[in-house]
Amino acid sequence: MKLLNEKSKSGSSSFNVSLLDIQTNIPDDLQRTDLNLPELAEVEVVRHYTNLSKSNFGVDNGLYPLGSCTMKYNPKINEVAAKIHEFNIHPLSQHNKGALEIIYQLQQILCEITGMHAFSTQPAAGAHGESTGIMIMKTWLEKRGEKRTKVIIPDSAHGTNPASVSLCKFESVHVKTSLTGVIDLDDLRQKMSKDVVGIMITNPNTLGIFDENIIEITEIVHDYGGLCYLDGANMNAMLGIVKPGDFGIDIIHLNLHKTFSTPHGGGGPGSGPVGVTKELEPFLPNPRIIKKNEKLEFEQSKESIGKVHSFYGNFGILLRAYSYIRSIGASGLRDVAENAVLNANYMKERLKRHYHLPYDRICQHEFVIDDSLMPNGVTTNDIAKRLMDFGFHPPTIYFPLIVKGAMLIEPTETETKENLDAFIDAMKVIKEEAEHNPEKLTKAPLNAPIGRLDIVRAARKPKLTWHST
Amino acid sequence: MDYTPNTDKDRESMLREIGVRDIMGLFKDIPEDLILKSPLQIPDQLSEFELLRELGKIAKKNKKPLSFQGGGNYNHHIPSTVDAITSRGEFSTAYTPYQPEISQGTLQAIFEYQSMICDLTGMDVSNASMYDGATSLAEAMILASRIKGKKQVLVSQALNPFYREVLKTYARANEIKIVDIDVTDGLTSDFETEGSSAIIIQNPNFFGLIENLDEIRKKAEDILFITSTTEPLSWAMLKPFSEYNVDIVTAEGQSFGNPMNFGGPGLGIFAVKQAYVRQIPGRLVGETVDIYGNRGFALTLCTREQHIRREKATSNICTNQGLCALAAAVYLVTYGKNLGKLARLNNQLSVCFAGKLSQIEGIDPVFDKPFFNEFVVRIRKDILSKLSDIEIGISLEEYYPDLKDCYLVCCTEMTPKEDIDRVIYEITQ
Repeated sequence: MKLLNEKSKSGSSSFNVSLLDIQTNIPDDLQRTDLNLPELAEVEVVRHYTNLSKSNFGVDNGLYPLGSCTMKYNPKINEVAAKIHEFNIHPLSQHNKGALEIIYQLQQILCEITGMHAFSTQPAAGAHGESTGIMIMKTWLEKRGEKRTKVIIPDSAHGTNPASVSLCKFESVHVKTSLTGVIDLDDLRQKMSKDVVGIMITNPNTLGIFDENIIEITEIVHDYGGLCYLDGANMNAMLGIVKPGDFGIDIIHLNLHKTFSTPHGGGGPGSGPVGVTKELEPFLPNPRIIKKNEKLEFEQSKESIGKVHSFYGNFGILLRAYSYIRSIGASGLRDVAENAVLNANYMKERLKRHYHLPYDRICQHEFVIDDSLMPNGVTTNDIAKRLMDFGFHPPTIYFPLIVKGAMLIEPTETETKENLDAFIDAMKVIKEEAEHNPEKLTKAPLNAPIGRLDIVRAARKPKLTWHST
Repeated sequence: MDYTPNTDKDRESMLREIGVRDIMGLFKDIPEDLILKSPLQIPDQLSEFELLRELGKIAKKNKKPLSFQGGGNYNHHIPSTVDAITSRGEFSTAYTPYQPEISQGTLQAIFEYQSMICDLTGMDVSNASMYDGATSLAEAMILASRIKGKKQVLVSQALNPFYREVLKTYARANEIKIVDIDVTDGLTSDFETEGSSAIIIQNPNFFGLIENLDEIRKKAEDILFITSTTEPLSWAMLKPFSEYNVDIVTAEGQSFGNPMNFGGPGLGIFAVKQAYVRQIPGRLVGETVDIYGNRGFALTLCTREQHIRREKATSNICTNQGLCALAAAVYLVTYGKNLGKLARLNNQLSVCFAGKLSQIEGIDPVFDKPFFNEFVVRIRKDILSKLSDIEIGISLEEYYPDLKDCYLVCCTEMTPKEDIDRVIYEITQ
């Protein structure tokens, strides 16, 4: 499709602005002489983006089983809630009681769901929550006057975990995954020392397995005086079933855009609130929103890591998450976990007849299969591209790194059994095609808006704007 | 409400297929004493109309008086095209475009966003956006100290105080030393570059004033020049940063089509010179071709990123503010060249308001310098009490003890002349 600048026609923009008869105070030599933005009639703008949207696939289009991303249905009522006129106020307005109430209530609800003592909603995304959590570890360490340098991360972790650790100038130490798909306790014991600040765990982990040794793991880390961080990316499987605070977690981040149904927006905005134990509460980002004498107010803590966002985080996303939680209530939250886990296990059991399942055991909200049984050199990437032709978004591929050719599948609770069956059928057909007609797969997608893209070329000679040649 | 479509019958047949007797059989890996015995203490579910009633009640506790607050978050009109486009589920319910063949909508829109940010700033490369203005700037600080190898940066005190706090947080974590540069008469004062990797200047600065970027660049020729902007509408009127040889441009892009929303979500703009393209944090969209030779777009230069580089990545950021960037793109192309006029109108209204206020006894302009759409005035306390139902600006005393009784006042197209006249009337009647 043509680019905006290729459609631009001088003088065609119709979005008029009337000026006043007032001289500017800005000297000429500080002003720009031309403004090179594309010019399109309003109807052409709308058509441009409407047509672009047609070559996009969202949850509203179909099953989107992108593992560890929890692509559940985003209820439309949340969008209505987020656009209530009175909520759109300036962050420094004094007339903010309603906004503060939403944030405060959400903090309380997240505490109840996770078993943590206090939450900050400032972090704008999961990775932002991670770095905030590691900053809390660092500041806590400084306060204790200790020098520790290492953070333990399982080899199945999201790549953002080690990157967040590096941001805070700690060193990542990796622990192995055992043959049954959980943290190798012997390896963990071996790597623990008084130089370890803490551990970053994902549980259920990125293989979709709830680590049955979780209590032992957090005890080992605590015995050495370390802290336990939980990457809450996979909280969807635990809602109303188990609270991370009960298994020894000191710091957690949640992804409101995953667990609490706020739309992913093509990459964001998300929200990554951080929760902590009572001991760590003073280290949460400033300002906190607290209740004092029945009144909500901002509070600055001297021990805080400081501010991590221009204002108070992604309020528009907090509103949507609040709306979601209130609309489904306590029993609805438990329903979410039960059905997410049910759907994943159902798919896993049916797919393992056709695909290799490296960890054959009960899973939580997601599971991993791989391409090791595929004939004729057909790869995970080929399977992913072919799935598009059947009207599905592919799963997360080549992650976690510990499974070669991994496909991480997370159907979520909002899919019907019919959708799951259709996906399973498509996977069966793909397996048969791999045997009899592998070319169909290596050329896939065949019906997508565009053919398979040359990713290597994009990186070799990057063309990142319409100006570059 | 309930968004889990499985019927009891579905659940039964699925459990049978799995081979477990009941749903709790699926949670057998969880140590039994951890399983919650009672329901969460959260109010029960609500129907749509009950929920809206409840939210409406809370919303009404906010009030929206006439306001002249800016300082990092601005009340601009959002063209109707923006909501119409960003509400489309194909855009809003997609995720990071990992699979480009079914994400061309997001990818092309971001490519066009990157291009228009370069149009406005004159820079060579823009990333796909970041969390907000403050964190974008923090990432720029970290990038500069990494490539220059000096763990010290110069930061103007005329930078938004919230941004300075965020920089402090990141600097502490990343073990960077911040050296403050004083402000003289509203503008960044003299500084020494020795030992520093970069200088950070806001333009227009927190007081709304236009900094002398030419002079700053000359004095800082041996270090990186990083700018921050909280009101990028000013870019449509001012000379682009490339003309001052700026290395890294960061900004809060909320003004471009995103509501105030109590401060978030924002849109972190991040643009650099070509030389730093392989060091840049965040997502980048690039042009390529498909196997048939058709033009297409994909995420690129991913070897900078954490899913490949892990602890050696240029940043831990793995997403962008996709929908906010889309809103900005629709906003920019809806206005097109008329964005220059909109900027001019904002400036005119501010000049008008500043002029009228300064004629009132007891109100004094604090800095006599060119500004874009924000300015500082000192208001005598008895006058202020007449404005109890108007938010006249942001009180500066908390952040700058010298600026007692001073307010940062902002005008946009949403505070037309009638609003300005109303304030003058309330004061003078």
